[in-house]
Formats: sequence, structure tokens, C-alpha cells
Amino acid sequence: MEHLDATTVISQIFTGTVSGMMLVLMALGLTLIFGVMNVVNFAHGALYMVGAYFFFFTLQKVGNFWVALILVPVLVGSVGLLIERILMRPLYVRPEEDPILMTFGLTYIFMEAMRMYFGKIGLAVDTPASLSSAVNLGLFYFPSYMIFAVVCAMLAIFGLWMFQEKTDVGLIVRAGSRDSVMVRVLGLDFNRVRLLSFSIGTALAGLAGALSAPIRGVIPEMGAPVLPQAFVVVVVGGKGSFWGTVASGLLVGIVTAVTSLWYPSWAEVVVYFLMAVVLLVRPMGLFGRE
Amino acid sequence: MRKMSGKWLGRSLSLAVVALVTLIAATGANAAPAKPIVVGIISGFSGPYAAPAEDQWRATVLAAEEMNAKGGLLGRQIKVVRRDDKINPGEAGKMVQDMIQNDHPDFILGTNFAGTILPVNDQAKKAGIPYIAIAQNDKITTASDRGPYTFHEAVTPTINGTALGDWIARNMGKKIYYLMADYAFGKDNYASMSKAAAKAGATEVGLAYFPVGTTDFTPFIAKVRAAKADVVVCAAFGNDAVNLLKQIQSFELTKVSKFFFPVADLQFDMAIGFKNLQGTYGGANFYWELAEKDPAAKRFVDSFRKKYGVPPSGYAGYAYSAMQLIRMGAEKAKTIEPAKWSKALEGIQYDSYKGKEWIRACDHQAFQPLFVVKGRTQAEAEKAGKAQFGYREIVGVVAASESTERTCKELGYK
Repeated sequence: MEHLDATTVISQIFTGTVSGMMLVLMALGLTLIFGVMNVVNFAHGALYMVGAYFFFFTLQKVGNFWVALILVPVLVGSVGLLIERILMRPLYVRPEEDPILMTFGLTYIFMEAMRMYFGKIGLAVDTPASLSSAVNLGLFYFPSYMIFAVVCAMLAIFGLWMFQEKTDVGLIVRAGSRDSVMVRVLGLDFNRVRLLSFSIGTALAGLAGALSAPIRGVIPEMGAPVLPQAFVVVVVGGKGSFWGTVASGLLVGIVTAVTSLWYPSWAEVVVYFLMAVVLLVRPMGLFGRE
Repeated sequence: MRKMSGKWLGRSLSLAVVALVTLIAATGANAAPAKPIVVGIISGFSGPYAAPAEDQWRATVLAAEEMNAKGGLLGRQIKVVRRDDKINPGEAGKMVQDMIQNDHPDFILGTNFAGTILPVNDQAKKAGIPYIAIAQNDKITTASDRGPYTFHEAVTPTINGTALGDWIARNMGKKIYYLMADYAFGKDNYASMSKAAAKAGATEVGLAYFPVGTTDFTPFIAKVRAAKADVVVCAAFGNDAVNLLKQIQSFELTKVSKFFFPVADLQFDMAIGFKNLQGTYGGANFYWELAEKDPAAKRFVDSFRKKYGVPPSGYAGYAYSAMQLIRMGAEKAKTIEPAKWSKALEGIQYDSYKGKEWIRACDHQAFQPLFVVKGRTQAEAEKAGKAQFGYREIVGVVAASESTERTCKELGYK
């Protein structure tokens, strides 16, 4: 094994944290949608990619990084709104695999659409001037944009938690994910809960895509490796555990990053071993109940 | 009755012959345009390297127009046709066959990608048509692969790596880290560059291969930073290069080491942008600012810019120079008959667009100067009055030398 000093490993743990936070955003959206609608959203990776492209596009049109960053989750959330209302709703009465197949098909539609409109070559998104330098962390320099991306993700995660725990609508969403029949019996409009949950979930994927764009570039296939990783995060963290998902997202990000220091080609595989071990030892996930 | 009709037939026939002969003579004297000389270019006009391919096409068209304006070549006009190989070796072979059958090219040029050169060469060789390769490939000049009328106007990866590896070790620093793409491009460059650099006294402080399509370069960046190399050679291409450059800049690594990319070109610079290029180094077969120093480059850059509004890239340079090879061979041999044309070019010296070049007789390889370019900041480019295309400045010229290539014997020639 190649010898590497502690500084190198620590700096890689930092970059693992950044990609981990993006996975957390993805996984929380997936969990929210799955919890409320019992649908595994296979289009989640594609919506992450759409977020990155929307970010490139709005940045070009609006010219302001901050405005674009706020607009993109709203835009992707609106796409989610339309998907739920038009495509998903008629499928609730159908067998479970129908909505899964539909979202799977959407992935290809989104990917081809972006290829047709933006071309097959990757696009580069510049960081704003105020965030394009690196910060001296004592041991090493770290890009200020990456720190910013982590802070942004943390704010979004905290905001989602506040919404779910402290607002009445959030309470209904949580109730819906525990027992949707009871929610309907109580006379609540469950269709609206589903619409809102799907939209918030997709907005989170869009935000993750936008935040990742300046770091990793924008290509039509960018969602493909992220989606299975987000699934792993959900499984490892434990279904239905909010902070468990956050912790497992960071774990997956850091494990991937540190592995890639020694074995770059193993980095993407090692998380599946992690998942297998967790499933064998704690089938409910690291932080899952029951 | 019989006799009469026989006489009549004979008379009318001879009349018809006279009429026909007169007709042919008349039209022949007036128009009978000499058949044009057809030059076919095959390249990756679709896909990720479409922009460089278009630039090759522009230069080919420009060269043809210039020659036609002077009355053509050997009194014949030049017609150019093109085919898209989709940077796919199978498609390249098929498209050349299609071109040969339908357009009957006298000369073939191409491609823009190492992997499509040999299939094009195979078909041209089979059909006995001269082929001038205008992208890097190490096998095209070997005795086993090269056709009798095949020429290589681009440098080989061996020449590129050897010339630049030596220059880096002599001018940029002795501690070198190699960060290479994990396929032929990276491996070939590593082999030739590290050998030449070591010969010039450099030491290798690290070597890492990254998979093609890597988006997260941070693990490599962490290692590169720890190695504290003078120079980091990065064999990265296309999207890989964009992502790697972005991450080098965001970690401010250019303050720690000098970064050197063995293949730099204006067409890629335009996509990568000032912000990502600034302070990094590259090796190039041509850079348009050479026009300020070299009269041949000035002629080429000025006419290209006048016609297309942008300066030519290195890809355009290769294509333009290949067209001049066609012209020089034909003018010297006074024919485009392949064997005589080809013989006329062996050992020829020329200066078409960037300084003195020559064709080595044994392998038909063009030996030529290469350039080391350094990325400017946007502010520096504005100050130099080149805000639009001044991504780089020329900081070094590597003179042409046959010592950078394998010997004729090593390539399999007697």
C-alpha cells in the first residue's frame, strides 16, 4: 500500500465531506418521496442532472450566481410538481412497479433531452469570483467554494428538518409517511401531501445538482453514478431516520474519498460492500428503528 | 435495292462520324474543363471533438481556395469533399470506402483522433490513394503499417513526448510528477516523456493513472500536493482536462507546482476558458500568436482570420500544411501520379505555416518545431490587447530534430 501522510488523508476526508453532503441532499429527497408515496423515484439521479443543467442555463440567462442558485431548486421542484400531478397520480391505483417503470423511463427522456439541447460534451460552470480562491486551513488550502457548498447543504438540511418537525404541514407529511390511511380517514387531502412531498424531494435533488456543477462539471450522464450511491445512503442510514440518513451520507462520502486515495477504481465499489455488511449485521440500517 | 441501301448507309454513317468529330473538337476547344483534383477529408465531425474537425475542414477549404485562385494545381481546380467518422474506427473505414467509391478522391486527409487513423490508412493503402495523416499516431509511420503513399504531417506521440519531456527537464524543473489518463494516450506520453526527461537529468517523484471520465480529481490532487513536484505533467484530454484544470485552480495548486499538459490547442482553450487555464503550461504544434514572429504563420493566420473571424488552431495548421504537401509534391513531380508525387516529397524541406519542416525519406514523417505555451489571466490578455483569443503566450520553442523519433531501423526500415 502506498504510504501517504496524515495531511493528505485529512484533506481527502474534507473533500469526502463535500460529496457526502450532496449525497445527503439526494437521499433525504428519496426518503421523503418513498415514505409518503411508497414509490422509489428512479428519476432522482436525472433530476440531479437536470438541476445542474438548469443551473448552467439560468446562470447564462440571469448572469447572477446567487439568483441562479435560488431559482434552480424552485424550477426543479416545479418539474417535480408536474411529474407528480400529471404522470404519477394516475399510477397510484396501479401495481407498485408501474410508477417505478415510469420514473425509470423519465430518466432516459431527461438525459436525451439534455443531450439534444445542450450537446453531448460536458459544460463547465465557473464559481463566482468571491468563492474562487482557496482558504488556508492550517495544514492545507481548501477551495472556498467547497466550503460554501457544504454550508448551503447544511442550511437546506436544517430547513427541511425544521419544516418536518415544527410546522403543521410537516406534521401531516410525517403522519402520511407513517400511516396514509389514517391521514385520509382524518379528512386530510392526501393528494396535496403527495404533491408537496414529491416537489420538495425533487427540489433537493436539483439543489444538489446545482451545487455540484461548479465542482464536477455538467454532463448528461452525471446522475447515473449518484443515484445508486443515494440508495446506499438510505439503506445504510436506516429507512425513516432523518439524522441517520445525514450520518450515513457523510460516511459514504468519506469512505469513497479515502478509498480513492489508494485504489481509485475501487472507490465506487467499496460503498456496496459497506451496504452489504450493514444489511447482514443490522438489517434495519445503522440508525433505523424496529 | 440492296446495293443502294448499302451505299446510303455508308454515306450517312460517314456523315455522322464527321459531325460527331466536329462536335467533339468544337466543345473540346471551348470548354472541356480538366477534371478537378479531389481532396477528401475524413474526421470526427460529430461527437466530442467536432470543433477541431471543423477547424481542419476550414483550413482545407481555405488552402483549396487559395490554390484555385492562382489557377489551380497543374491547371486543374481543387475540389474538397468530407466524411464524418464519428471518431469511431469502424465507421472511419466504412466512410473512406464510401468516399473512394462515390467521390473518387485523388488525395485523402484526416483524422482528428489517433484511433481512426489506421483504418483510414488501410483503405487508402488498398486503393492506392495517397493519404496524409493529420493527428498523432505512433504506428502510422512504421514499416508494417505505412502505405507507400502515406505521409504523417502531425507529430507522433513519441516525438511530442520526447521533445517536450526534454524541454521540461531543462527549463521547468527536475522533480516531475506524472498524472496520466489510464489509456494509450497517457501511457504512450508517459513512456516517451519520462524517458526523455530522465535523460536530461530529471527525477520522477510520482506517477498516478486516473480512469477516463474521472469527475473527482481530489484524491490525485491530494497526492500531487504532497509530492511537492516542480512540474506536474498531466496527460488529460477533453472533459477530463476541464475537470482536472478546474480542481487544480480551485485548490490553488499552481502556487505549489507548474502544471504541464502535453497537448494544448486553441479549440480546447476556447471551451476551457481563461479562469481554468491561467498559469498552466501546454505543448502545442501551433499557436496563432506565432504570426507576430514568423512570416509564414502571419500569412496563414491573417487569411484564416479574415475568412472565418477566428484564429486557426493547431488542427487547422496540420490540415493547411497537408494541403501544401499535396501542392508541393505535384508541382515538383509535375504530376499527381501517386508514386511520382510521393517520391518528390521524400526529403523535401518546406515552411508552410510555422517555420522550417522536412519530410524524412524513410518513414514520410514531418519533422517540425513545437511550442510551449503558458496560460494568461484574463487581465494579462486584455493588457496584451488579446482579450478575445489570447489564452496563451508562447514561452518556448522546441526545435525540430530527428533524434526525438525512433530511428528508421527501429521503425522497421532497412
